Amino acid sequence: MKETIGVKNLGWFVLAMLGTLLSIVAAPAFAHAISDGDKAPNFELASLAGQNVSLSQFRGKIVYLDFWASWCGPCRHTLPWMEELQRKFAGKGLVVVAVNLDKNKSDAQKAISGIHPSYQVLLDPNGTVPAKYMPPKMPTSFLIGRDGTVVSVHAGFKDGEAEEIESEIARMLSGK
Amino acid sequence: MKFISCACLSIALLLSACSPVQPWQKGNLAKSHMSFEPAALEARQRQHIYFSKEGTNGGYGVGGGGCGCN
Repeated sequence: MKETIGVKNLGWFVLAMLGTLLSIVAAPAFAHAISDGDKAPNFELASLAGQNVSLSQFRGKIVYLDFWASWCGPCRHTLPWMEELQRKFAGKGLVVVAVNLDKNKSDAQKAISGIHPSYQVLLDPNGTVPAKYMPPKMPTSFLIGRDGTVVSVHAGFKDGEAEEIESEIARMLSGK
Repeated sequence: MKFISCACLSIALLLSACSPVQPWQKGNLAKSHMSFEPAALEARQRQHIYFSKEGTNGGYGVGGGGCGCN
């Protein structure tokens, strides 16, 4: 006897297809993006200088964690400003950590060569840290408080945002 | 029926590999040879000549699209 596709089986088929489509569309939504009030996930990466640096070693300090790449124009725009930030607030308890997401170390070196950063430039060619933080844009920065909690998230970098972030950092450093 | 079930399962498994590109994974997409017009200056010049010949303007990028606002 020839097998036919019954209504019941067709129903299961449609259900499976819908489930698959839903999983495709909704998968990124289920990945938890780190936002205000969340504990900043710890990580350990090699720096451009070749040392291993972990986020937990800056516990007790305010951390400005930035995700950037050489292929991202606005990211490159923030690099000299982050150096200003580091110089301005480092003595008061701020650490700037810039996580580079280029596949090749040479691209990062080229992008940063004219700046000679005194801040931490860490290399993450496999994107393991952004997979934990889920930055919605490039660049995205996470301002992390002394207790390791994310205080604010800045997605993208627009004109005038630098002043806003600086005043936020100054407020945090003064303990207000 | 077994065949159809296997086919459905295979399709479902293959489709689950289709995930959106995350912002930090767009390094290759940002390369100049991935853009429609890799040489910006040359494209601009070509457009200028075209507009002069046709007596038209706009239709490319933001300089007067099809919105009818200019």
